[in-house]
This record gives sequence, structure tokens and C-alpha cells, in this order.
Amino acid sequence: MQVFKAALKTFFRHPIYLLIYVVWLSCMGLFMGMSVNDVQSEEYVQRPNVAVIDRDGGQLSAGLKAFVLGNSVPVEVDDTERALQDAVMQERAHYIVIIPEGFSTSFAQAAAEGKTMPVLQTVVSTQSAEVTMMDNLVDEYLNVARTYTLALPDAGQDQVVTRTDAAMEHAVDVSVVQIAEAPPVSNSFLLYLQFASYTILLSIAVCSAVVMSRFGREETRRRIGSSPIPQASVNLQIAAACFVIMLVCWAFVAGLGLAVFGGKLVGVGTDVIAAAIVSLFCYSLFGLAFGFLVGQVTSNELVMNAASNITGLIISFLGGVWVSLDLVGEPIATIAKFTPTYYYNEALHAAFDAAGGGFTPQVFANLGIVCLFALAVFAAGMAISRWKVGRMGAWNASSTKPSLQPAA
Amino acid sequence: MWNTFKYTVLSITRERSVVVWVILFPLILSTLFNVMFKGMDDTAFSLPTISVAVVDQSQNGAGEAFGATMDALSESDDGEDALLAPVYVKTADEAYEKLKAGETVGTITVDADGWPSLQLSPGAGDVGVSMEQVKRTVLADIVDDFCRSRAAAEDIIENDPAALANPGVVESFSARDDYTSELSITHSKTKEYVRYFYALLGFAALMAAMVGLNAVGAIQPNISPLGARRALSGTSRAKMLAGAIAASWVVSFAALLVAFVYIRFVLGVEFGDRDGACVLGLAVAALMSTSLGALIGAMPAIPLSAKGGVLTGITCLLSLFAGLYGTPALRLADQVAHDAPWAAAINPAKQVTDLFYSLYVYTDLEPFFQTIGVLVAITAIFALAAALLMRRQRYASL
Repeated sequence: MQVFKAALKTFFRHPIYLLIYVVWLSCMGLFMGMSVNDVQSEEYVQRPNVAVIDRDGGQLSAGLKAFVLGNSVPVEVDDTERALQDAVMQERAHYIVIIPEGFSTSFAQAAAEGKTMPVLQTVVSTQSAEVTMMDNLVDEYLNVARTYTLALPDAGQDQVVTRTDAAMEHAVDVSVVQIAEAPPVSNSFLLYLQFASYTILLSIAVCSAVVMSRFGREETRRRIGSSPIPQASVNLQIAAACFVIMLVCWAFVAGLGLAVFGGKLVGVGTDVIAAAIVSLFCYSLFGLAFGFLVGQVTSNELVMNAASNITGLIISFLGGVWVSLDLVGEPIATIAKFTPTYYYNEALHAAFDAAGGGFTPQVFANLGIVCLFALAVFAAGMAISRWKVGRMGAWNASSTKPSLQPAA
Repeated sequence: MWNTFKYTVLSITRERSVVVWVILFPLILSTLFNVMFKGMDDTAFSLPTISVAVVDQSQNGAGEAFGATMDALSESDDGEDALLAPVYVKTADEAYEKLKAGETVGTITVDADGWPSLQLSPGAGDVGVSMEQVKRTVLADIVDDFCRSRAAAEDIIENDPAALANPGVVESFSARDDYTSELSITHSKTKEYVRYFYALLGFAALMAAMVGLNAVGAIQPNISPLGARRALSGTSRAKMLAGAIAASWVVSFAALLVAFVYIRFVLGVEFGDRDGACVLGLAVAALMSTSLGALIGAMPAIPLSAKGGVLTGITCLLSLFAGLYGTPALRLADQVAHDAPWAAAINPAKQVTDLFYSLYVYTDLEPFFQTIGVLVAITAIFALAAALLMRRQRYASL
């Protein structure tokens, strides 16, 4: 048990790693989780921030402005190029409609004479489902207004707007179906666990690699090699210590998530939460295996840091935890299947499936693949370890041979 | 001082971790971004067919109008995929089962009078914008449009039947025109994915602080054995420090320049066609990074290797608020910048990101120079703090 104790002592004597990689990085996941609002059950899409710049001042423009702002979160933006650029740059408005001067008049004329209809200018910060929705709402309003303009040739535009407004109130009754008896799992908790794929890989890999690299230094290996403890026992004890480190990291990340987002999980089945925590555990095993591999390759802490960080970022992006894979195209979606993060993410989604999550066969299948990834990476680490031992043996043989030669 | 400069440059470039962090890392990650986000380009965006269950409970042919709308939207033009793939079912239970099994995005129930209502699947688990979310929105828009047009048509038929004599009115019941065209008010047409590359440069600028950290660590007598030996040399401490800082800046700037050239010219990411301003921005970013490295390098009682960990932790956290980690992080960064502008102003990663984004968005250079000013102020604060830490240090352990 001496090696085991020494390994743990090594870890706990580096509290800065514990603080930065386990506590500090977990906070990143918390910020991410806390930044998202769970869409209310009656809403199917979040309302975007919208500004309307009315350069026309006509009745139709006023009606359109009231309708658009009534279906969004209204924000004020000044009618200057700089203010518009600021709004886009600072994401203050996601969608800005600019109604040009004379729009109401030209609209009425074009509708009556069957000419090409005038268009509005829009400024969008980024393309999204919300932006598409706002475009469609503007089109709906003006299509109905055109119908009334044609149907009421003798009426004033005020009547057209009044009747258009009345028709626009007939929005479809949309409801979001509760598929399971329990409420859906909070998006915040899911996002926290998704982000943990990066933080936990980094924390476990770096912390365990630090310990392994300490024992992996050639001088230390030689000293341990000359002790009466069998090499297998030494390796086993170091592995046990790294497993304990992994447990500490996993328990901290899972506990922190439950403590902060627990309030949002009221009513969610225990099996659903347990399945998510078990998924995180399986991914932690991959982190441990990766740390083992890195610890075998290098003993330079800065390189360990870099390797874990780069790998963590790449597989988190590719695994679809940060960018939805259905938007990035087929080739990337295929490459994603060669990362453990993809299967971890799939397991989380299966565990949180609104139609009945928990420990479903799909969860087990995905977690099985995550564990296989861990095994493969561990095997690669073992191969490198064996190679290094072999190298050391060769060195020993070459350095001790002359002394074994009988004196001439 | 020249010798200090020369040998610091040589020793930095021979340090493996610096090469990995500061040069390779931005190249690898930007290549990944490029591969991933190419598919997200607007032109490549295409909506797959939306599966929806339809429960028609209409009586006396009241649902015919809606049925015609569904037929029109489920027919494919020129071999392209149709917008909708309706699955007609008899009961709400049957539709519910399909929704539960994930076969459909929603259910449209047409009531006895032919008015549709929509039941959508819950959207839990979406990462930022997802295709599922887009599908739900489009489906709701289609049914919404039908309801409003029908309300208008019924109103006209009931109150102004004479208007139906005009064929244009009847045609307009089903005619759908687009009334919006996107205007580019920014210097370049806004593409969201470019922001990931700018955030990556913000990350790279902070990681380049590793250069300054190592260089300053190498002249600190209580941090490294090399520093202890150098403390005994005849060169004054101020000269050594100036040489190390100048060398760190040159190396950081060169590393950032390599990343920029790769992103700009090899990957073809837009920077608003203002390459000269970009280079100036990189020079200031390198200055900030050097002073940050000097500050962390000057911190007493932390071993050099652990200082690398401190820098990584700081970089990762600050990059989160610059929007590096995917769509949710970008939203978080925007939210923080909007709700607490001071938090964005004191975040050097966000400032470097904004440096390039302001060149991309604004037509004039004023916001760019404002950001430069903020970065220079941050640099001055870091440098001052580093100087205070390094000044008059006692090395009892020596």
C-alpha cells in the first residue's frame, strides 16, 4: 500500500491542480448550464429580440410594427448605421426590420395594380430558427394585408390594417406535448453534463497524468525497480490511486451539478438522473485511460496540459456537445462517430429521452462503446509502458554487462 | 541586453511546450473549425423533410382546404425533397405514439370545422440552434399561415362577398410572396462561424502568455535553477528583464501572425479585408499576452510547471466568455457582454476577439481603436502588477 499512499500524497500535494482543473473548470460548466433558460412548456421557440425602424410612418407600417413587436421581445435601436452595427455586434437585437419611406403608399399601389410588391429590409445578427420565424411573420402579415387591399379598394388603409390585425389574431393553437409522465429534464443540467465531457477529461487526465509521470521518471522507475515490491504490484497500486483520483473528480463534478441544478430536477425520475451520472462515470473512465496514455508518453506537465486540452476540445466539438451535429454536414457527423464524446452525448440524450429515459438498452449500448474507447486508449498506454520498460531493460543490460565480466 | 534577447528567443523556440501551445494549437483547432463550420455556411443550409402526423376530424368536407395545403407542401418539385411528409392517422392516440417514437416532429389535428391545431414534441436537449428546433418552427409557421389566411378569406366572404368578383382577391388567398430581403449594414456580410475563429485568436493570444511566463520564470532566482545562476551574473536585472520581455513579445507576435496567416489565407476566413489593421491588433494582443505571462511568471511561491496550469485555467475560463466553446458559449458571451459590459471589458480574451469582430462588422475603424485602447490599458495593469511583484523580492531560500 506504500506506493498507493505515495501516489495519492503526490496528487494531494499539488492542490493547485485540484483547484484549477477540478474546481475551476467545473465552474465553466456551471456558467454554461446557468446561462440557458428552459423553454417554457407552452413555448416551442424562444422569442427573439426585435427592433422595427419605421421610416415610413404610414398606417400599414404602424400595424406591421405593432404586430411584429407583439410577437417578439421588443428592443429600441436608433436609426443610424452605427446604432444598427452596434445592435448586431452586441447581439442586442437579433432581427431588425427597416420599413422604408413611402412603403405604405407603394404597397397599396402595387397591390391594387398587380405590380411587384415592395420589400422591407431586414438586418439579422445571426441566422437562426427565430430569424426564419420573424421573416415568416412579416410575410404572413403583408400577404393578408395585400388580400384586404385588393378586397377593399374603396376603403382607407386604416380599415385594411384593422381587418388585417383581426385576421392575424387567428394564430394556430400550439401546444408542446409532454411525452412522459415526469417533466422533461432541465436543459441547464443537460448542458452542464455535456460541457463536463471537456472539463472532466481535462481534470482527470491532467491530475492522473501528473501522478503517473512522477512515477514514470526513469530515475524513479529504477529506484522502484530495485525495491523488493513486484512491478505488477507497483503498477496496480498506481492504477488504484489514479482510479481514486478519477472518483474524486467524478464525484465532485456530479455532486456540483446536482447541488446547483437539483432544484430544476424536481419530479424527474431517479433512474433518469442515475443514468446520467453513470454516463459521466463511464466517460470519466475514458478520461482516466487518456490520462494514463498521456502519462506514459510524456512527463512534461505543460505538454500534458496541452495534449489533454487539445484532445478535449477536438473531441468535444466533434462529439456534438457544443455544436449540433445535424447542422455540420454528413462527413463530420460520420467522423463524430469515432469519438467517445459522441456516444457519451448520445447516452445522455437517451437517458433524458422524454419518451422514457433512464437505463434503457440504448444508454447501455452507448456507454458500452465509451468503455471500449477507454479500453482501447488504456491498451495503447500499456503498449507504450511496456516499450519503455523494455527500453529501460536494454539500458540496464548494456550498463551492467561490463561489470559482470570476470576480470581478465 | 542584446545577448539576453537573442538567447531568450533561442531558448523559447526550443521549448517544446511553447511550440505545441502557441503555434500548433491554433493551427489544429482552426483546421477543425474550418472542417466543421464549412457545412454550416448559409448556402449549404437545406431543410430536410419534416414528418408530421395529421389527424383529420373534420366533418362535411370542412378539412378540404387544409388538406389541399398539405398536399401542395408534400409534393416535391424537380426531384427535390418535399417540405412536409404528412402521415395521416385516424386517432390522436396513434399520432401520439408516432410522436413518442420520434417518427414525427408534431401532430396536426384538424377539428370538425376544419381548423388545425398543432402539438409539438418537447425540445429538450437542443444545443443552441438545432435542426429539430428549425423543423418545429417551420411547422408552426405553416399552420399559422393557413389559419390567418383562412380567417381573412372567411371574413371577406362573409362581410364583402362582392370582392370575390375580383379574381385577384381569390388568387391572393393562396398567393405567398416574400417581403423581406436581408440588408448588409456591416462591413462584411455577417456569418456567425467567423466568430469562432476570432475567439480562437483570443484563446491563442492568452496561451501565448506561456512564452512570457517561461522567459520571466527563467530569470527569477527563486523559480528556476537557471534564474538562480543568472542572478549571479554581471548583467543587471532590469536589462535581463527588458531583454526577456522583448524576446517574448517577438515570439508571441510571430506565433499569432502564423495563426492569423493560416486562418486568413489558407482557410480563407474573412477579416473584413483589413489585414494591416489585423496585424496591428495582433501586435497589441501579443503585448498584452507578454505582460500577462510576466505577471503570472512573477507570482512568488508557485512552481513554474504549476504556473502553466494557472495560465491554462485562466485561459479556458476567459475563453468561455469570449465564445470559444460552441454555440451555447457564444450565446453566453453575448449575454454577458450585453448584461455586464464591464465584465467583457476586463476580459482580454473577449477584447482580442472583439478586435477582429469590430474590423469585420464596423465600416469605420473607431471601435477597433477603442478596443486597442482597452487592450493597452489591460497590458499596462498587468505590467504594473508584474513589476510590483518582481521588485525588491527577497530570496530567503537562496
